Amino acid sequence: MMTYHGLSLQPMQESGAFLLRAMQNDNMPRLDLLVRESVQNALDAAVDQEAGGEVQVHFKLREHSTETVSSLFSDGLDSRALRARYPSGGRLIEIRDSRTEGLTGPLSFDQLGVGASHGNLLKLVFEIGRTRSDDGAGGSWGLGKTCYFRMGAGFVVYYSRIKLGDGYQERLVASLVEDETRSDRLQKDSRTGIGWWGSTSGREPITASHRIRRILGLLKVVPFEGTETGTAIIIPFLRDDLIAQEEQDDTGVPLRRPWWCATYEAYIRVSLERWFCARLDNPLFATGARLTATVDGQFIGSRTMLPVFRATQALYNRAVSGAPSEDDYLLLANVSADSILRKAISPRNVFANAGPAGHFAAALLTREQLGMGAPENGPDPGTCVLGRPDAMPPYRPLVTFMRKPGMSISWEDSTESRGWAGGLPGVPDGRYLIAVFVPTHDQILAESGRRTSGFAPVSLESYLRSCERADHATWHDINGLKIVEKIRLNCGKHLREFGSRPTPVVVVSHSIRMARNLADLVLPERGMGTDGRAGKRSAVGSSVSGGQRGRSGLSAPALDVLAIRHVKGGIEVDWSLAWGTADMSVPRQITIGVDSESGPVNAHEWQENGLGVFPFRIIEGTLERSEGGTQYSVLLGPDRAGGALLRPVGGAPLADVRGTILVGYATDTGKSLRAVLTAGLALPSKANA
Amino acid sequence: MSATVLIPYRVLPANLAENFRLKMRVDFSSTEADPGARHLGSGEYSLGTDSDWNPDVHDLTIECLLGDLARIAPLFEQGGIAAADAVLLIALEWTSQDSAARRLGPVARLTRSQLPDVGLEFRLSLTLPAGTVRGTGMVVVQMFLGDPGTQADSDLGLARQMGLRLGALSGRIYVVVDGDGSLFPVQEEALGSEGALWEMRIAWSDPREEPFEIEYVALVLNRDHELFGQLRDRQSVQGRQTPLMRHVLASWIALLVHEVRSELGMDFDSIVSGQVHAVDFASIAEAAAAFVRSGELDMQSAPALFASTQRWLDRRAREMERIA
Repeated sequence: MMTYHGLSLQPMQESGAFLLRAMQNDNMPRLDLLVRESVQNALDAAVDQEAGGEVQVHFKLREHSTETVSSLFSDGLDSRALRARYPSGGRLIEIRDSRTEGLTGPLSFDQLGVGASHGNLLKLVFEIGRTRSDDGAGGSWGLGKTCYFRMGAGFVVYYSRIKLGDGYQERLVASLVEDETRSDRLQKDSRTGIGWWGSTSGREPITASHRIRRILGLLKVVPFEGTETGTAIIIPFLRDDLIAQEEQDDTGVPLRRPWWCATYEAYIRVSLERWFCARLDNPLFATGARLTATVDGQFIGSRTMLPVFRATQALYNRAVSGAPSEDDYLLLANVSADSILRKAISPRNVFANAGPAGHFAAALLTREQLGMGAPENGPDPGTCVLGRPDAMPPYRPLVTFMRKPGMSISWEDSTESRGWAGGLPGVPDGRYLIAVFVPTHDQILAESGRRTSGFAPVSLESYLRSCERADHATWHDINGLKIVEKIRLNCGKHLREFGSRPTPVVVVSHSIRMARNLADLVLPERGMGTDGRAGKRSAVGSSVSGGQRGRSGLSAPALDVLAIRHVKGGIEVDWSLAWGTADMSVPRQITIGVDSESGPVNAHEWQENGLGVFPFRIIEGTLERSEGGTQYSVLLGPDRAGGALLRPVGGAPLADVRGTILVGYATDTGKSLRAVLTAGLALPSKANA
Repeated sequence: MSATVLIPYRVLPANLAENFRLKMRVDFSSTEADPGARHLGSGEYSLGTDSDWNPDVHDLTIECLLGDLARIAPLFEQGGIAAADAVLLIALEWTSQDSAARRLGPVARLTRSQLPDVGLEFRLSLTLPAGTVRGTGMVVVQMFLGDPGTQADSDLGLARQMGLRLGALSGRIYVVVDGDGSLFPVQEEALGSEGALWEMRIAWSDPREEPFEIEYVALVLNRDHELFGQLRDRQSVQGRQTPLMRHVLASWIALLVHEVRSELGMDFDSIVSGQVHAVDFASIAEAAAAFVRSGELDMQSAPALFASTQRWLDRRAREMERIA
């Protein structure tokens, strides 16, 4: 049914045994690894990467026969060995994402041009260790995908439907990665334990829909239809040990396991909540489409999540927006305002510009607010996030943190002084502390935070991504840098204060007066703190421009407005332009824009942002005739919204040009907006010249 | 590129002539603590002098008393910014890039008919909630159009839409909340009645790399200790420390210098002598070095260090008392 291609042994060649160990994470239950990896891949491939969109991931589990798999993989597979290992069939998991771009790109390495993108298909199915280039990606598809091979016998079937030109293309390919040293291995002749099944060569996916539909029918996978694109990962022969094994207490008595350990379906549901609660069914998710997930057709709504994860989503929303949402869980649970904290985390000397490294939000919650009292009698937060109960108060703080994709990197309950909770041993009054840190992903690191001086600017998102290992389960600073450490210590300081304060106002206020007075006694007035009592150096007076500066040395053109007359329908402006010495033969351009707090918005940007008709237009432009010397032509832009072009006619330009332009209001809005006239070189790329 | 802003109606110029500016007196207060405001000149005020006020937990109210309002009568005349029968609104406006905030206080109405009253005064106020103020901010008396009046149509240069911004009527007042003023890393904690009166808390990994701040090194005072009350003297003049506090502080500083020197060895001596400038902010090592330099501390031995630190603090206390 499919053609086999086994990977031959070559120098530096990875083997199946190596790939099965590559993930280097044996402490996280395998089903958690699978959920994290598969959902991250779906989020990275989302068609709509902006907030407000949606990406879907559906998990389905069902029985299958050994014969089904045997018939699909008959070429190259030792069917007897397979039947011996799985005499009575197995269970498969289908992880299906949609509203995603699918496994795009070349079908094989033969189609790959020099320097061309390898595409999702080659990276996911045929390559190891190739990372995605976009900073905001969650998964790297480098090593994380190797977790698929650890879920069952090593088989993975990849089915995808992509948009191709004006139509669609289906693709199906399968692989098997097994320990080549096993005596009962399924690829008898393979010395690497790695093989693929696909089209006639075995090295390309099948693209013929009729063949794909037959295979999908055997696996009971529903094909993508209509305009749907996406990817389905099918893993047969699931192992029985994908969730944490039963644990015993000190006396050998088995610990009571939470209800979600009873079935894989229930476990996947809670695992989705555990790692993706910030994004799951959250229309306010800030850095991408919201995640819609189902397990065996059952939708996971934010309101049906376990209370600790509902609280975490509410904290995420507060961290990024600063305000509670309409159905904020903390409000619904009557968590008082003084039990909630939101702080900007601003470590020193980390970023090139001002602004925080991110925000964190934390809340102190009672048993009742976490659904642990009657009648819910729900599990404690420690069990929900770490799989082990925190039996005795004071309960350890729980902190999670995430990058742009919104997956919790990990849940930490460390009480060490350099941990995320700053050594807070627990909340004194029997409450639980839950905290979320969300970085400001586009903050640019200061030059000292880059690996090489003069290297391209590095965003915090990119840096944090580089601090993760294949399993994305922690952040470790790159050698020599302390960015994560500074963020963590800063969070810890605030959390320690927040979690341990019995009467916060008194503690802080007493200390700060003493901190000021002791500093006055023994420290220099400035430089050893951030207090404002000495004033801010160079805060005042540095912005004074000094009025008219000599213009003779200017290289760029400079515009002076000499007079303004408010006339019917607009403003008449007398201006003077110092031509400048830069590229003197290049025409100069006076551009009109709308003033805003973030700088002038020109006509092109105005329309690109869907703001409608640009509110100003230049109705008329005239030049003051100079006595002898150079004359100029003035040319108004075609739509008259862009500006006016000044071109010297014969001879070298003069030092100054004077003229008048009439700026008209194109809309009523213009009568209440501030226009900005800007002078510059009329470079060819300026479409509105 | 050079840019010039065009406003579709006449406004107050940014460099308003002195004879149009209102005289204003500014006061700062807070619901729970005196903010400790100090005028530094050039319209700059700092907060926090000898004060418990903390922007994270205390609000800040700014009050302005405006006088000499008759000066602005020309604003209602030909070539001014409002028609003779217009209504203007004035309010205190706080803008702060550091706080990412812009906030207006309650508005007051102003008409031409009020101006002949020489005794006319306005009291404007603005309250900034706790936790919203950071860095540096600017306060001005901002003017808006309340009602253009019936005579506005005859002058094309007048604003006609209610709420339009007409400019700042006052000079700028800069309020400095966070600056680079030194703070001593001290905090109070409940360590139990059996706990020590004070502790040195260390959480640095490299004293040259980490700032002299409470998260890396702190003098922790035990609120539960029987002598805690003797550490503070609330009746004293600004900055005066009790003898016990002076002793605790001397011990803590000596211990800090000892710890840093033990860790850095010769490197610390280089920092003290100014041969090495470790980083561009005040690190723990630089703070310790500053103590050594300021107090001329004797680092020959631990006993000499402790004794010279006490002598230095006694000298500093006497100097502070003389200044007060």
